[in-house]
Amino acid sequence: MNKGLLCLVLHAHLPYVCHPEAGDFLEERWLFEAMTECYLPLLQVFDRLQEDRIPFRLSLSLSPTLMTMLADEFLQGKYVAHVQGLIGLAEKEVVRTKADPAMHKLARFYRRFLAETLQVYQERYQGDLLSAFKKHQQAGNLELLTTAATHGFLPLLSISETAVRNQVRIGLQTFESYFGRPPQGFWLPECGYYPGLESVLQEAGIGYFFVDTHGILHASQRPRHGIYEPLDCGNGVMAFGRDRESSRQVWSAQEGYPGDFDYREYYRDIGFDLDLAYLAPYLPEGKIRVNTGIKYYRVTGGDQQKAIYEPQKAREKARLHAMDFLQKRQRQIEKLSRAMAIPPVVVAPYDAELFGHWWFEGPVWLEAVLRQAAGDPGGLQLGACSDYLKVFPDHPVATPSASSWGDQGYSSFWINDTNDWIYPLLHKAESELEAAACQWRDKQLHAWLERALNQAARSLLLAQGSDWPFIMQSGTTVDYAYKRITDHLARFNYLMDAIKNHRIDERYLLALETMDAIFPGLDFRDYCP
Amino acid sequence: MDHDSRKIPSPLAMKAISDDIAQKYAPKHASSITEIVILPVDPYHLHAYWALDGEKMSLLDDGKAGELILRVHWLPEAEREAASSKLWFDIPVAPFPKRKQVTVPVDATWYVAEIGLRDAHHQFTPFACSNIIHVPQARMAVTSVQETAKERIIRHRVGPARPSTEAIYDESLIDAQIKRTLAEKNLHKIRALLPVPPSITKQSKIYDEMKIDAAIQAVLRQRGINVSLEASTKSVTDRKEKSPSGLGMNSSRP
Repeated sequence: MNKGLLCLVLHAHLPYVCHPEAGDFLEERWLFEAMTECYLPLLQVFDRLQEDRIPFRLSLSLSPTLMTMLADEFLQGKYVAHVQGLIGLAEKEVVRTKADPAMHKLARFYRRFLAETLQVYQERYQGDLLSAFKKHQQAGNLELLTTAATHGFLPLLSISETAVRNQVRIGLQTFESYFGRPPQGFWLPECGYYPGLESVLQEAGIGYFFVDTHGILHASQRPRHGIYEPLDCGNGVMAFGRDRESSRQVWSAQEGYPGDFDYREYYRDIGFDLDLAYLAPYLPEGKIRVNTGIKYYRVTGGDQQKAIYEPQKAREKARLHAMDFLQKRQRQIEKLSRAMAIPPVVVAPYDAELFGHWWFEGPVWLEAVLRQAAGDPGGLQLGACSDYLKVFPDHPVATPSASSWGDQGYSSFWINDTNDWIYPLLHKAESELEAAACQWRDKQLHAWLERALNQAARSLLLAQGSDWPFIMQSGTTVDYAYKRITDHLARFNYLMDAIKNHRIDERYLLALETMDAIFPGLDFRDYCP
Repeated sequence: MDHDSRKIPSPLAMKAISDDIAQKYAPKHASSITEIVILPVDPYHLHAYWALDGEKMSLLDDGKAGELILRVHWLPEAEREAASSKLWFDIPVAPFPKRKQVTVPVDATWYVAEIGLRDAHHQFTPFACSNIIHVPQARMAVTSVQETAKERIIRHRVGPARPSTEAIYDESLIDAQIKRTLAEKNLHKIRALLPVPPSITKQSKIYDEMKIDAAIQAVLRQRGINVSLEASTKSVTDRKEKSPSGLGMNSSRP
């Protein structure tokens, strides 16, 4: 480590959306879109770098719900059908746009992109993206991390330490079941931290986690080097702070790269632009307009009429932005290293779905960052937080401040008048489950009773996801979020009622286990405090 | 969860089961116990929700027994019990919807709340006492505490909030304002905000962020002002500028 370390951290998460009881389920497209535009392109970036023998290192957090969905054969089959459908639409677009050379060129671009996506998914990865990530973990390119079981927003679940402990423990169990070993670091959902959480993390064997900038700056002792050195939470668990400057360059709609006029415009999709009758065969129920991923325009800027997207020009811009990003980080690290007694660590975390889905050119940018950094051995060094801790294990002791990376920096996005009604229900269910777990923990149980108790825990975990209150506040797909949370709690109530009355319909239990087929290794006994 | 696939209900049957359970076992807020729970929202807000059993609810029926009060206690010195608190404020609340967001006066401290009845003689009878919570420290701010004829002196604020009559500046906003001002060559504006070092009072043709930072930090150090130059948290955490986890795909919906 020369002057400092830049840690790029991508956090990949989607809520558990798997509906075997339905045909073409709208919300399952969230996963399919992310697979096509983000996860597969990122894997291809890593593969290309490895093939070209370019050394690289970054961190990737995979949420337990996402891992479960990526490994799910039912969803894998649906994904293939989904991409095949899009290829059909792209074929149709190639014909439709023949009279317009620029559009026609783009239509052929999408047809090629989608055909390659399907081929890579089926032939190179055999539908198994987790193994593809694992390969890069084993090669040392990726430090894989994970997060809480269903991405529960831990500060608002912390009324019960058992709830938090199980979110953490079950998240780690899921990770280990796919990757064979526990992660060293942990991504707190929405960077939601509260003092005391470090004890749960320590108990779970976690070495470090991330908080937003003010979590470090407002720690119980103001750290000597701000966010550029981790804090020891007093029990050996380290907290790394998000660097605002590198975040802003990528995130900000005003100043950030993704808003560049040459990049693809996310909000102009043929799913909304073209005639409904023309699109019908490719839309859910033949009539619900959705994003198809086929987009012909670039950001353009101002109030001008949207101009045609030019992929080559956009890729070139992404490479320039990569250079700019690295130069700024280099300057930042040089400046910091002059003032610090130890080399600074700059932590730049992003939602993985930004890369490719929201910012179509994001994977190109990332590849260019990694290539350019590797091309200058005396320059900026990229690594993982665990690399930094190996070299510098001792850091100032302080307790970070409660914080999140959400709007306003605390918990208000997840508890306000759009979503606060869920917390009494979640807390009450947690309390009931804990009582049942203690009641049944040491008893010989019928197989069905054991299954019912475990399934009740799954229902509760799924209700606890941070995604539902988030969606309610953000105002998108509110009905779906409402239904998910009330359905999971209703399933929980049904199971608890059956347990209490020693009577269950086997068909019902099997249906619930099939619809919410997640966390197979879960043991309800862990809910006894 | 390995099951005989032949026994798994068909998709239609699963849908019917799901609907049946959703209808018959929908979650309800009804509670047979009396309790109050509080949750920290941010440095100046907490969220309270409560439940009252039938007996307590009946006391509220005609309003003669008194009014329902949420009493919030400030526990400043690690006092961890409502009984030992000498500082509290009361908020009259309606029996429904049994939840309320409360603004608290001081950040970085502990609170506990009680739900109870206050009678005509202002006697408070608590029904239940909440858990104790800690609200985090507010973002550091710079407070203008003194103004001379020629210039303002800026002092770093640490600790409890100041009276609301004082102007409070967020350090990151000041930083942003300084940089913006310098970049836009409107140096006169900065004088109202901060004493400007002579070295940067001349217009700079090239906007050099590092030089500006260094110059500003030098003058702050010289004046013993403990302010760090950082960008606004909000600018990078505002939901409009990011796709927070899980939401990434949601905007793809019509």
